[in-house]
Amino acid sequence: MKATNTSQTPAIPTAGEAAGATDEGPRLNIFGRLESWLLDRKRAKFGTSILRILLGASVLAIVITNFMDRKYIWGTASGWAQPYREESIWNFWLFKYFSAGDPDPLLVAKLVLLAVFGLLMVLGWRTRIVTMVTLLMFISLAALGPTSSDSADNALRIMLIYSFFTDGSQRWSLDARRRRIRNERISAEGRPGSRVTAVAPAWFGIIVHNLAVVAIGGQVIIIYLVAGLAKARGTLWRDGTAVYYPMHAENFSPWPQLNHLLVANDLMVHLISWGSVAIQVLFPLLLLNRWTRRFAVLGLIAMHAGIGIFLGLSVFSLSMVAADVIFVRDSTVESIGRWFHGRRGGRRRQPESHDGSPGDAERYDEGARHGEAAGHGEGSRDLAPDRDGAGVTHEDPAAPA
Amino acid sequence: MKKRPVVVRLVGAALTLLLLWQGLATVSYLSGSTQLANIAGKGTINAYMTPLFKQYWSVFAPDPIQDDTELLIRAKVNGSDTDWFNISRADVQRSILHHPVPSRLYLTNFALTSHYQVSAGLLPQNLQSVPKTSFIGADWLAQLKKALPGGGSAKDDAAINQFIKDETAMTSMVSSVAMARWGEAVTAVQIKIRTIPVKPYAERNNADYQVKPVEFDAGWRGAVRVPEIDLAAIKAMYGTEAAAHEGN
Repeated sequence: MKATNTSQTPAIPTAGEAAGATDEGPRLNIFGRLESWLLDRKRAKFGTSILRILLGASVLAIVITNFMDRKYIWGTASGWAQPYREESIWNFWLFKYFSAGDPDPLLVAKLVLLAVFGLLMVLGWRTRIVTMVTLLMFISLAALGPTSSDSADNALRIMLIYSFFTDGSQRWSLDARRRRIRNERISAEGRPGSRVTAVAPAWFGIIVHNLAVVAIGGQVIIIYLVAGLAKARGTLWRDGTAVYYPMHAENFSPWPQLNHLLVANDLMVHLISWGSVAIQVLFPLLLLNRWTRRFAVLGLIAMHAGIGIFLGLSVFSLSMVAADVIFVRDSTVESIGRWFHGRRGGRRRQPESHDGSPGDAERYDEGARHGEAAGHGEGSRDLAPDRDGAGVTHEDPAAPA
Repeated sequence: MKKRPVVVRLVGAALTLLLLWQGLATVSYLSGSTQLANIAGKGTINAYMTPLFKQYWSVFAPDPIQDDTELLIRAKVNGSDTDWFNISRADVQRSILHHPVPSRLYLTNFALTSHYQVSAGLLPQNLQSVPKTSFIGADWLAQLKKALPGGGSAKDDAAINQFIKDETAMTSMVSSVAMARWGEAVTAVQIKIRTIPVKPYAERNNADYQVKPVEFDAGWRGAVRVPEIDLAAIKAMYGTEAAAHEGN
């Protein structure tokens, strides 16, 4: 069944159609397909939205879980760390929100504000500016605790940077709600030409968003390749017993009995050890096919859930899961949503026909060339009842998600 | 191919090149190869990556952690030595055990201990005994620096400077904890770093197998009073009422 396009703008072919995936358009070469993927509309709407939510949750978790120990880690009882602070790579005014000299009430106020910004990221309120401010505050906090920072902070910092360049407010956000209400009001008032002046042309926002999605995907692939290949050099990973050791280390055991139970079985120890290396090293190859990609993403999410629960590296895990989700196609999330609604006997959600502001239009078309808003009808295509995985492959052949 | 304005294609191409540079820089930065890291000129990629894109992903690699590292401290108070206090055990109890999202308290002291161990190990061969030597009194740091003369290779000088920095931070932290725990009459402090191996996988079911901890005892250091440090906050965490874990 073909989806009905409710767009009021001139109909344009989707990326897949343009790529020759249907009989309606000319077949494109690889360059044309890549160009279509990059310029036609914003990709990974759900992936970038989930990324924004989980990164905000990570920031919130950092503040909450360290609040009781804040004085020793960052505050009035942390002066012993001064020799390291003097050589911090972040000794720059932009990263001076937190300061070593802050009295405790001021540190508390600043941490609460950081937590509020984390919460605003979760809620998707003024997403782009909130993401940037959160990033600067977070780097400043990390600089204040030079021996309290690890790979979790690296992952969070890098993903916050890339997230800033995405439009992570397209789904499940207050920004999307505000845009929808505004567009509905404009439609109701019969002023189809009304629009808010865009800061940048729509096509520019689409390019930046899509390249940021690629950057996130690329960074994730690099992380897993580097981590996987480094492990493959280790004798314990090769003989399949590696995971046994951290599971018995006190500093990686929030729940020691649970850890010991998990690695009490030989088969389990070997499966987890070899599986962890294999899925990381093979990750780029597993992305090439829809089913192996789903397996890889689910496997990595499971791996990070395990790292978070069993080894206590929760913030690292949350940041990595946030990045992994970029590889989940929008249609997959929508299919899950439909399945979930179906199971609950609920009515299918009506399409959100107007998600994008003029500056954040989801599609670039002829109208957008002149800086006009696009994005009409996008939701109806995405929520079409026949949009299962197969349909997506046709529509979006070059999508990473 | 769809018709598009030239400016759209140009901007798309320019930003794509920027992304390719980012990818190349990331791969070069992580490659571990000096040749690749300097592909864009000596130090260029490192300078570009370090502030915002600094990263390290070889966690648990090439082999995972196979031991627990414990930091123990003791002090001289009114001429007598206190018992050892196991800071790491206190940290595990306070911030890790039964905490679904552990705080960074353990990491804070663990990383400091790790820095200290690494930099002590990197000292030139003829200076390896210095960390185990005692330097007592208000001028302990001057004595330490005198015992670590530079003037060797650039690598050795860098190792010496790094150790002095780590020793200063470690002694400052340990002194603060000692004063919070045993009072401000503390005159000197000492650390012990204990490494307890996890029982080897092959011996996991052997009840008679005993792991052999390795201990490193640094020398005594004159106590440091860190300006304006909040000893009451540290006492709430590591004071005798807040944390037990004394003894060997």
